[in-house]
Amino acid sequence: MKYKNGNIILFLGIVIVVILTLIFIVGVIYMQINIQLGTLKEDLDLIVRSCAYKNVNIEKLKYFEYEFNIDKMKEDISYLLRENYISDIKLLRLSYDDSKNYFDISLEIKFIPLIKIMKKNELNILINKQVKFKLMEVEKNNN
Amino acid sequence: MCKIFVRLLFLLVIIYILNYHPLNKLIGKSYTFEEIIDIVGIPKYNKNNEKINKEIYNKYNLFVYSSPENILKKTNLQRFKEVKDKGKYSYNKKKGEFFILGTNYEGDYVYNVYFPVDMVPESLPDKWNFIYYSSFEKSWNCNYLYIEQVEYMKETNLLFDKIDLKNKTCDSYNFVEYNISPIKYGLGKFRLNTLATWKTMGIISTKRRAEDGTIRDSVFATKPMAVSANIKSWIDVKDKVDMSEDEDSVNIDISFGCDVINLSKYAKEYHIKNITSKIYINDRYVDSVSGSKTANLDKKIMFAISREKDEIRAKDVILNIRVESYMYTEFLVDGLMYDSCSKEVLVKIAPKKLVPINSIDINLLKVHNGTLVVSPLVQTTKTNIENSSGIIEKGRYLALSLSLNLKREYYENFDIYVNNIKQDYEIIKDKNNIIVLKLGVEDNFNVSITTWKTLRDTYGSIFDIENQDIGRRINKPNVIKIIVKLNVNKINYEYLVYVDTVDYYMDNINYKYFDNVTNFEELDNIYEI
Repeated sequence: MKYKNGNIILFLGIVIVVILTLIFIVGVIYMQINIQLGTLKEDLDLIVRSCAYKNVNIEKLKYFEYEFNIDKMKEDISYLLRENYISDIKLLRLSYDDSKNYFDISLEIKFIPLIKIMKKNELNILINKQVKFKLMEVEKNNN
Repeated sequence: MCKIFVRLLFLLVIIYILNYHPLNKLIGKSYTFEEIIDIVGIPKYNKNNEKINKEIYNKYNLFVYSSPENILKKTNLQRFKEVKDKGKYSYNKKKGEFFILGTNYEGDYVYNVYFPVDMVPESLPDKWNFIYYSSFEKSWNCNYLYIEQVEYMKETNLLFDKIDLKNKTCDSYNFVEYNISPIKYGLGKFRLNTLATWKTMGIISTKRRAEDGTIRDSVFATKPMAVSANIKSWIDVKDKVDMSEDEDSVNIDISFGCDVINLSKYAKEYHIKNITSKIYINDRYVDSVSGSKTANLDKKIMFAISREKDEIRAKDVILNIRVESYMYTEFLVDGLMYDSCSKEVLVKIAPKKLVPINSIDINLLKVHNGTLVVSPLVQTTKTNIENSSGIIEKGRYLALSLSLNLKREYYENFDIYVNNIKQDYEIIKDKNNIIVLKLGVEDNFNVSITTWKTLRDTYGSIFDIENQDIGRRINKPNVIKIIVKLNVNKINYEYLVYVDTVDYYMDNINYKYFDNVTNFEELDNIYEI
């Protein structure tokens, strides 16, 4: 009986260790992602907006028409990301929604975690973001 | 011979006498014979269906029917005497006088007072021995319509041919006034035949005992009752009237009318059957006034002179105002009395004060579905105070919509100055007297209202910006001066509009503006240009 109980305790101990190990691994990877990609996500607003500035048709914008050279913007964004953040990055989608005045951008990033957990030692991370690009708005409320 | 003379004089009892005074002066020269008989109401045919004779009227100023020649066919009383120089009538290529000129309305003969006498009297009429007849006295007591006529006939001195006793001549073309009147000699010695009127002589016949004891008939005439009575037209109007630059028309007060002058004790205003004044301006009938039994007419009218449509130059207009007046009395034989007067009025029309632009709308230029449209500018309590049309970001386009008040071809060009610096523009619409100018909000415009960029530049950091600083006025509104030059007068007309400017529109992307916006609900409206 004592033996049986000892086995159970051993089994549970092993399970707990495995779980803790997994939590540790996931935590490490998560922290790695946050550390490496958090800045990117934050800077993506500025990157998209600056590229939008560069590639917007200024003449049309004078008349409140939003028209961008999207292909050039993709190139510029990809270049900036690769140069400053992660080399292995793929810009999946970039579009501007006139009605909402937002850019929708989707990025795919290949990520190599510090702890190898699978045979293939890389992760594909998909990032979707909306970046506002709108001319000055007038609000009704006063101070 | 004497008997013929007496008979002649006797027959002259019912004669209508020619006008004593040169009536040509009084009878309207502007009116034809037909017009006169129409106005006065003299029938064109008498009771015997004989036509009124224009020739006799022209020669003797008498309204008679038929003609001396026709009378000649009807009666052996008719005679013609040749009077070489003074004869008024022509018959068989000879000048002279017919004894009977025609008939009156009743069909009775009208005798010619100018018919030469058959024999010369032996003394002047005031020495004659007139014979009393009761029938003569009764002739004064008939029911005459106007007692003044009868009184006049009683009191006035009588006229007779000029008699030259020495040379034994009697001039029937030259009446002389003798100191004889019925009231002085006794009414029973004079028979009242024809009453004098304002313009025609009266006729009185008498019987007298001549020195040889024979009884002779004589016919006397009287002067007309009011030979100098006349009608006088008048106009009361300013010599000069000004139409100012602000006026498109001016009213000219005109009073006009006429007065009957030189009425006498015997010629009364209630003898006037009709009196009329007509006013003509530049030969076009305008108005009239008429009356009866009155010696004065007046009427006030207001005549409007308008500037010709689209006429903008100075001009002097001369109005020729003419008043024509006529009157006739109850005595149809007086005919028509006429007078006219005229006056020129100078209307000085100043060049019209031109207002080339009715209104200026200033809006934000946009493109919507590929078409240029406009939207209102942002207006706040602060812009309203400074008469600013609103706020626009630098780099954008303003749409200045000018509503033209004059013909398009009057406009030579439009110049635009922003803060006194000339600026180019583009005309994006020129139709139906609306011109829309596209004006870029370029460097000439000063930032007058704060936004984030201004404040960030001021404070050095975006974090120090307080919301209440957004929309603060830092400069007066920009002045857009529109100079309109007209080719018709080469005058420049200036119009000022004010607009507030914030930072370049690319600097305000993703920023918000809020400062007591007064037209928030209108800002999304778009309007066709």
